[in-house]
Amino acid sequence: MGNIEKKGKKLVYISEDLVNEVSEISRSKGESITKYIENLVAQAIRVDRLGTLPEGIADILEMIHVQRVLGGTFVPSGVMNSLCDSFNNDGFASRWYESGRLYGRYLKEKFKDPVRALQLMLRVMRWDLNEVEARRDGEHVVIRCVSTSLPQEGAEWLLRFIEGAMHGIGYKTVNEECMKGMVICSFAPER
Amino acid sequence: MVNDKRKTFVARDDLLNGMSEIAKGKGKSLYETVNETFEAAISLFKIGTTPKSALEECGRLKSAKDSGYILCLENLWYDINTLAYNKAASETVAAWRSAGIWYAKKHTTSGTKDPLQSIKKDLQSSLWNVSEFSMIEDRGEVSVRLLGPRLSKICSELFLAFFEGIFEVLGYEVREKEVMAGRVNLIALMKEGRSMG
Repeated sequence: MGNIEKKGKKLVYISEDLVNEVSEISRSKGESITKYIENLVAQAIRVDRLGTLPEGIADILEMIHVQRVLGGTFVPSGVMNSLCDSFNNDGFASRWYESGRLYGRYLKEKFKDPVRALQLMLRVMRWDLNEVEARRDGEHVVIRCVSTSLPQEGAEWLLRFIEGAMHGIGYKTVNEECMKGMVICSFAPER
Repeated sequence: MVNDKRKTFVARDDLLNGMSEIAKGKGKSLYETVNETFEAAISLFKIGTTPKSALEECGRLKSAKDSGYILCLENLWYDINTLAYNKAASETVAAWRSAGIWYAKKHTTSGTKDPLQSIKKDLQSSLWNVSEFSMIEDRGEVSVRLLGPRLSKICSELFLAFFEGIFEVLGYEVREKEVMAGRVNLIALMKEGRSMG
C-alpha cells in the first residue's frame, strides 16, 4: 500500500468502483467528494472507537428500526434481573412467549432470512448475552445463548421469548434446555 | 464485490493515520479498511440513512449498553412491572431505586466533572419512548419532568423511585414530587454542605 504524502494531506488508494459510487452519492448531496470522503473517514474512526464494525452498522440500524416499530424500550437490566428473582412463576413466561411471537411474525414478514434477523436482533437488544448463535443443522435451527450474568429465571424468560419468536417465524420446538447463564434450543420447520 | 482497478483520493493525514491504526489493529491493509468504510457508507445510503445518523444511533446503543440497559418491548415491560408491583409494591419500588443508585454511582465514579449533566445526556438518549423529558439545574435545585402518555400510574411511580435513587447518590433531597399516569414531576435540592460544582 503506497501513500504519496503531501503537506498535511495524503493520497490513498481505493477501489475505482467504490470511488465512483461514493462520488455519485456526494454529488446527489451537493457536497464535494473530498469533503465527503474526509467526513466518511472521520466517522469510520469514531465508529471504530464505539467498538462497532463499519460493515455491521447497517444491520444494527435495521434492528433498531425493528425495535422502534414494535415498541422496544431500554430497560435497566438490574431491575429486570431483580424482578426475575422475585416473580418468576407469576405468569411472566407466557408474556415473554407472546412478545417473542410478535417479533417472530414481524421478522418473517420483513426479512428474507428471519432466523438470521432474530440472531442479529438478540445481539442488538440483549447485550447482557456474551454469545448468541443461530446455527442451521439441516432443516433444523439450533439457537444457543450464553451469558455470564443471566440468572436461572432470566434464562427461562429468554427461552420463552426465543421459542415465541421461532414459532412466529414458522418453526416448532424440538428440544430446549435452559440453565443459569445458558439457553440452548432447537427447532424444525412447521409443516 | 469490487473490481481491482484503483484510484487515489486525497485526505487529511491525521485521518488516514487514524485509519492506518484501525487497519493495523484488525490485521488488515489500509486499502481493505478504507474500502470497507466506503462499502458501509454506500449500504447506509441505500437504506436511506447517513453515516452521521448511523453513528449517533450506534453511540446511543453503546451508551445504553454501558449504562446496563437492555431492550424489551414496552408493553411487556410495563406488564411485568405492574404485575410485580401488585404482588409486592415495596420490593418492586426498591428494585427501581437500586437501579437509580447504581446508575448514578456509575456516573459519579466515572471521572466526569458534572455527573448530573452526564446523567441527563444519557437519559435523553435512552428514554426514547417518552414524549418529553427534561432535567433542569438552577443554583442547586433540579427539576425533572417526564411525560409519557403510555405510562401507567404504577410505572410513573417506579420511574420516580429510579430518580430518587439517582438524587440520593448525587447528594440531593427530593422536596416535591408529583406522580400520575403519564407524568412524573420532581424537584430536588442539593443538601447543605454539598458543592454545586
